[in-house]
Amino acid sequence: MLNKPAVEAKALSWAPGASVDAGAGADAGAGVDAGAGALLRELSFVLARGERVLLTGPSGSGKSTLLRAIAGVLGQTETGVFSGELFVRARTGLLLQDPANSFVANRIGGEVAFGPENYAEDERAIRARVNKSLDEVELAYGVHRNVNELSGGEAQRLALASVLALNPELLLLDEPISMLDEAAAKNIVQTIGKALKLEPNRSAIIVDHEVGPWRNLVSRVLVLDSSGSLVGDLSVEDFLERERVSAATPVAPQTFDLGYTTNGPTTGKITALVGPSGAGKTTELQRRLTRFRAAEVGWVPQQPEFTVAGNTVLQSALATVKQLGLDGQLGLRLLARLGLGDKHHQNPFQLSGGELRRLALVSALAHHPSNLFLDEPTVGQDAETWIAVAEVILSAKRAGLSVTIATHDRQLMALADEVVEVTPVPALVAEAPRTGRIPPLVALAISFGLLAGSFAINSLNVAILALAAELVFGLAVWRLLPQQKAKRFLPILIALASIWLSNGLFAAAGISAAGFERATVIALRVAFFAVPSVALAGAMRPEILARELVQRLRVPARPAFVAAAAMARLEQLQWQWVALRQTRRLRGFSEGRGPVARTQEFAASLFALLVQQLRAAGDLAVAMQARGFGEPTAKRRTWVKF
Amino acid sequence: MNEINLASNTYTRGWRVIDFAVAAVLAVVLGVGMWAYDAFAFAPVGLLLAAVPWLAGLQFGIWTLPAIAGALIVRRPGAALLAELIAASVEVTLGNTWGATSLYSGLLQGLAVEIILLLGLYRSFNLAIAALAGAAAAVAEVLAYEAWAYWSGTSTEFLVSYLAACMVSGAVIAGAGGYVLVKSLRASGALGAFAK
Repeated sequence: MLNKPAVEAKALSWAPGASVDAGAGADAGAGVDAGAGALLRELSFVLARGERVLLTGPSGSGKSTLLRAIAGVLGQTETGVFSGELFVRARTGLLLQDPANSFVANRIGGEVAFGPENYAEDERAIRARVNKSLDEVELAYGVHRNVNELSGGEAQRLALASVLALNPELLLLDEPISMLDEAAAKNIVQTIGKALKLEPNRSAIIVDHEVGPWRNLVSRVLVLDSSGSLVGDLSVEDFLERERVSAATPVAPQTFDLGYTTNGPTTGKITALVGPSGAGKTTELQRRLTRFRAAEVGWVPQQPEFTVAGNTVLQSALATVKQLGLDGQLGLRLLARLGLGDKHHQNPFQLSGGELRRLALVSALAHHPSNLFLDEPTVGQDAETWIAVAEVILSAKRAGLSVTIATHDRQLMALADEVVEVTPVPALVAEAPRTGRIPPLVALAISFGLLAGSFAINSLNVAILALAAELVFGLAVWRLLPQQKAKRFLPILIALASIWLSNGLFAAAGISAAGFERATVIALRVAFFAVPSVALAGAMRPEILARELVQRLRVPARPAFVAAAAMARLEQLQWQWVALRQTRRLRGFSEGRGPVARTQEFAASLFALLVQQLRAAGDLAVAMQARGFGEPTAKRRTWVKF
Repeated sequence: MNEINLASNTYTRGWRVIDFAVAAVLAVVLGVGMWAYDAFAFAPVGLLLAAVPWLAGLQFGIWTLPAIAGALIVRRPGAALLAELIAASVEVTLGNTWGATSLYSGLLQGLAVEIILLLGLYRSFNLAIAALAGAAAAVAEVLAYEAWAYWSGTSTEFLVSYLAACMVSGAVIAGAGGYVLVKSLRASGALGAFAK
């Protein structure tokens, strides 16, 4: 067993799309995948114990798919059909490209502990493991730090610590530095190098477009082609030699005529906003965008999903054009230039990440704006599509546009006329409101107890007595209660008035003094349970409540944890919502002012947010599964308090 | 360690990790939507209907949408309840009219939807059963909570009208609305791992 290789694939194939989920419903049929098309075709290779390889290939060639298959999470989060054989004889640890999508806790400690907790290890062992892993990645903030306050590089180091906490024998790293600036990337590579050096028997598969950063860590390179076949299995030296030969004729980006000019053709300019990840490049772009209207500006946000409109690529590309009553010729030409010419009728959400970003670029330029703002436009592009994107940017400059790009891509910076350094501003950490000293479970019990007890309030005397007792008690424990703003009580006061009026006006015996007395009793009854309920809401910290429910009331551990993890994402969601609304405004979708138009726009925005979040949920599920949330032990998982 | 061929994965009947993740994410976003409705639309709409207050029941379905949508996507016992409770927690956390008692409403509505789906043996997830589940949630909410807590002074006619309004809204907004929402999400390709 020990001599057997860590990974052994024999004619392994994967076809996405065909459903494996046949048992859930009578009408179960084929599922369709987001970013479908990542096939694997008859892959055969062996990875020895302790061996480290780089896995490369163009975007969409199935690199991530293969990594997920090895991590044992493929077929659980996507639908598809396997054939061939895949043996993995090692405990795996999977690190994803965007760490923000894999976070399940709002504190560093909880995040790192998640994996060991799923294997139901005991609390002391977990705490020790958490500290050791955080040391290993040199994240010195301590376990209580909020994960939303980390920079991009720090977030990736936290994600790595969470993977190392499982003490993996095979590290699977999916483009771990593609979202990071150069300095942060270098740092992560070093940290990974250290983790590999420490455990000589630890194997690794690293996915990246480039070998460069990893050349000292890996000995071998596996190459996939765009059809998902393994077309190369060679030593690093041979691979670099081959690359050197083929790179002898670099392709320089050519400009073309956009078909319109603006500001006069000599005024075009490219400004690059640069700085470490998390420094506030996106915030700076958003600030600059506030003064523009849809017609004047094109905007590609970090989440290209937010720009999507309609059900097809074509509709989405030309939505702003249509809104402004312009001609769509430029949009069509750009679609062809950016490799989307044959995808006009495809659903935008079925495009890959890189394709969706290119579609957003088309949508941003098709309506002839004089300003173009781009947030990391080259993320997810391979060598070929990178050139296409660069050509569009240079052509926009030639047409006189003022182009502002936030980027960490060195090659892209080289195209800029001006480079502006954005210096990190310390994150504004909102001071946590006083949550009081009442344990959430007690707060919940009081709320429900008062609700049940209010049943007994049936006369004016009892009502007054009960409320007086409640008031005295409330004042006595005032200091234990969470802090609440007075305006939080306004809605319940309005509701009480409305309940009083309705009960009085629609009393069984018609409108009468007795009817209104009865209405008063009912309003006081509602006040008896609802007002304290509002006061106690601030004490119901979801993550603590969920843990208490599991540990004291034996509520099933996994649903309770998931509820807490979902609530931990609320903060992130707030930022996404702001970005989404701004993007839709700049695409010209929120012109209407009346209540109907506003409601429609609200619903459309909520739907767009839902789609984007559900796509991210796929990544979240992969990350959770890879850290043991699907294991049988997770049903009785530990839950450590941080 | 036994050798397991990872390429022979088969369907599991229990909850997959993706089921948890999708139910939770869906519920949080819809919970934020519910909260926004509480905060910005509930009072103006109430004022608009001040003369016929039982018509306010026509808004009921908005608060059951997470249960129906969650059930129609995940299709496993407990999905409706989990989604509804998470959405209610979001409302409570962000601050709504009723505070922690909203969790009681969420519990009632989630359970009612589960009961209807159980009657369909968790095999039928069509428009009719979604509408029925939405109406059932209204029955549970009104009879097990609002009738005695809020409306016990009103006439039977008022209460019956209010219940009917809630049931219609549950069937149309939560039931049919949830059905259409899930269909649109599916068309958008965002639900790759789930059966049609």
